Amino acid sequence: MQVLTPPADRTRVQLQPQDLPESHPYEPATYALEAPNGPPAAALLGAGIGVLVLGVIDLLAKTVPPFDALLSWYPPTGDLSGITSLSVLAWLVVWAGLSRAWRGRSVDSGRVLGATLILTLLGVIITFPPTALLVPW
Amino acid sequence: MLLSGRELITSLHGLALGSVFLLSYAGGMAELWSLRHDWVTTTGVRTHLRRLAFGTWVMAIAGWLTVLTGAYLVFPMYRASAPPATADLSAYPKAFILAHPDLAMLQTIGMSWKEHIAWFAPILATAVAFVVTRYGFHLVSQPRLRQGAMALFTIAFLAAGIAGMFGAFLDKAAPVR
Repeated sequence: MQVLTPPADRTRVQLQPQDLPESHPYEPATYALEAPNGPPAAALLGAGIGVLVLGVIDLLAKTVPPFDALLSWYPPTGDLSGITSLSVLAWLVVWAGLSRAWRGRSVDSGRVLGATLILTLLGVIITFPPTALLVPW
Repeated sequence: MLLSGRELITSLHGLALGSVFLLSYAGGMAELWSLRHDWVTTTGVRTHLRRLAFGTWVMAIAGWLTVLTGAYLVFPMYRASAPPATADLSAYPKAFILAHPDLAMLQTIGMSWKEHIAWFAPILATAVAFVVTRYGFHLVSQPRLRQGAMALFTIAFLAAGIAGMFGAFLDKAAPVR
């Protein structure tokens, strides 16, 4: 197998796809592209948190009538307008915060992925309407 | 006319935008699945990433347009209150469904779940589209991130599928006309 050598004046981080020969298989072991995985991990975890927040706000709206009354931001749509707008806002804020905190850093992608999946599944379960019947208040 | 204005709006929401979202999943998933260093050449990675970025953004944008038209155009028509003493509830789908005990589950479970879980789809699809666009090349060398993107992409598809399924049932039982 042909062994590729990065140009002498470049670091591994700076290596770009266009530096690789067209016909050679992409070989990360030979030509590794190391980059901080913090920002993409922040996008995934932020989405998981956003989904959970939507579930929690929905659950509170279903079980706490005074809170529900505050969420009717657009009356023809009812509380759905407040629940979803608030959740989307929370998602964007959390995503921006995580991106800022993890900029230029690498994180344990396995743990982030696991946490994201757990948060997302919790969100799915919480939004399932019968779950509100289990709430003790 | 073949379709009323209200039916055109529900068709745009479910048949056009919702279908684009669900159909673009298959292509995006195939591209993500095959974005592996031992399967593609460098040229292949570039080509894959261009298609993948396009496909994931189409899916994300279609997802947002689907939930926005659903929440702000279709849902108000669905939940509109019938005037007192209205005998024919066919123009008021929610009231019609609740007036029929055998259909009530479509509201208490179906619409109740659909109206919220549907929003998971564009949130998750947007995260995946962002990761592909900004960090696509690194998905090849970081399989965990690629697997994470595939998992969220699949959950987005399932969430949209649940919403679409209940939407179809509701439209069958009490169409917005």
